[in-house]
Amino acid sequence: MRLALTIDPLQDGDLLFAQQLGVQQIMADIARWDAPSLAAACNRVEQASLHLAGIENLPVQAYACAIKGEQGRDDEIAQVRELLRHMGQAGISLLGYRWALPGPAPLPADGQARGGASGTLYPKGAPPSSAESEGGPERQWQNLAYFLHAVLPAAEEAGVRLAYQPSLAALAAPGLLRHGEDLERLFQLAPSSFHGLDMDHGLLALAGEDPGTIIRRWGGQGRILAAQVRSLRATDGSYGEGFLDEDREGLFRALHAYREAGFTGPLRPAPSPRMVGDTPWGHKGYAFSIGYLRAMLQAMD
Amino acid sequence: MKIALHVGMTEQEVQFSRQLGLRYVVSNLPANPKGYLELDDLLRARDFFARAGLSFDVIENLPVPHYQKVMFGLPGREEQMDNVCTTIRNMGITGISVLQYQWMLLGGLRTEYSPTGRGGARVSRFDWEVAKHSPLAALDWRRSPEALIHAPDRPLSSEQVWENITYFLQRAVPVAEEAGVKIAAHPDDAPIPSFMGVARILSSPEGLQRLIDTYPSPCNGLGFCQGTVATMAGVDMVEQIHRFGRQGKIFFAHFRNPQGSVPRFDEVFPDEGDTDMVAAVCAYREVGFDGVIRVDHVPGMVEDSPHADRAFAFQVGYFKGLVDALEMMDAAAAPAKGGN
Repeated sequence: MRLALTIDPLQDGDLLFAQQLGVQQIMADIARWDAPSLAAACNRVEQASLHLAGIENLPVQAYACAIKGEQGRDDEIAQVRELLRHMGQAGISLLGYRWALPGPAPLPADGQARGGASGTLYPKGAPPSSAESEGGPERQWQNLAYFLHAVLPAAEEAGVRLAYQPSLAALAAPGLLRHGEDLERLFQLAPSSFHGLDMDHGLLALAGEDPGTIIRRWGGQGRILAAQVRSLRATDGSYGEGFLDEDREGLFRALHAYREAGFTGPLRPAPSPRMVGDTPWGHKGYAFSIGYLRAMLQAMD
Repeated sequence: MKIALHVGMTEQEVQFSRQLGLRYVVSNLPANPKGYLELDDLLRARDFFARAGLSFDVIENLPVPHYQKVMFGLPGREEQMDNVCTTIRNMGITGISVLQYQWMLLGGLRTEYSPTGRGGARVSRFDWEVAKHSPLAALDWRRSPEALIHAPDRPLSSEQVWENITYFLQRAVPVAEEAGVKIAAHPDDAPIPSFMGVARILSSPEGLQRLIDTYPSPCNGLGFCQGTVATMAGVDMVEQIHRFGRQGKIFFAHFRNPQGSVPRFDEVFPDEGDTDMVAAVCAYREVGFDGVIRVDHVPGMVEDSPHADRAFAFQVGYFKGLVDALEMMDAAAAPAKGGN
């Protein structure tokens, strides 16, 4: 696996920062989808001796109708297909997507993480997202199938892989794709080799799954295209994000499973709680996380 | 492993340590005109850190002006030693258990601090050839040559320097034993045998062993600066952890991983130096090292804070990652607990 950071928006100082930390790959959100903009982003990353592994996330607004199964989804799908073509031309080979509308807003969380750092807290048992009120899980599966069947041929043609990303929003408001068996269904629905997972072992663990089993299973089949690591804990009314070493056992087991599964894609840390005097993006927190991950991987070699 | 940063007495620095998950600090107190560290100041520092949940176990370093005449064997050294003994006694009362000192008569030596590291990070370098041709420029950047009471053009032989440090140990160690304080000598960085005619006696494993043997005592030992030992020419640093660790002589350690060794080395990021850091952490564990280990010199990173928080966060994360991974690999190997 390759250590990666998600940078949004791309800035030269942050690319240099990533390079200094010994990171090899970058995931980015790119606002403009035309071919020249994507190529420019690619060049910028390569000038810092890094590789632009993929676009972190298809913005939910760009396919909200598709998620809800509403009119207008065909136009959205046409746009996504266009994006995939442009990505292929620019040589960006991975696109993350989710299948949940934005979940409940995070709670104000000042000073609740270790040492008074500010970690993100999400409320548990939040009201169901509007996607759910649109006919429940079966309807969501149908909507997802419709989207993937329309989009994946374009992805194949462009040489871009689509990575399903579980989200904390989906966990807070239970819907699709939080359990191991849902992944079976996902790949039965869309077995294309250009379709895979952006794995998050922390979310799977919170959903009561064994991340190691799932990582070995799907990683062994080459379905894990990218991975995100974080430390999550469930408290009475919320889910909270902490520092990576606060769930060292879970992380260690996940990294072990990724290695066993022969995972070679980008591995990136989620944001840490905001540290004292840190930037809004969280440079100190990312520096800590990358150092921690680098060492764990070296120790396993 | 008791991982620490060198922390000043500010809320921000203390909070940073806590957020990194550290429970120990290393700190210093400024040189005091009285010539010793006062009990009240030590108590205040200890309590300040304790309130933040941090244990203050190591003073790094004994302020040089408090024993400079002893280092150079100058008149007035008896009085300075009286004061050093007072410092040690006050530390004993306060419960700060390790006092690190160094015997670098002309200070630490570096010749360059340039953006030659990974991603253009600023890396400090020592190059003996450069130092020979511009000796004053290689002197510790924190101290101007004018501040030295001993003109560097007057030579001091190795035996003279040994005589001076022996006097120091003879006076300090018995008091340390009584006070329950361990005094820990930091090796000479850069580890070259002499500079500008002044001997650097703690620049080899043999020098460190001689220091230990000069005054055998459970309170006489080393501030084992891993980076300095790793840059001693032809020395296997990990072997030295075993050698001195087995003797119980590593009282305190510095965690750093340079590239190269004398005559030239660079202080790079910990994951890209010459030392096998996994083997180093294994060695500390094997010898049962239970002292504090401090994350040491870091490269200068882009847009970093004056205290280099980004680079230290990376280095602390790296160190913790090694320690945690090795602990969990042991746990996984233990038959009772099973693997995954």
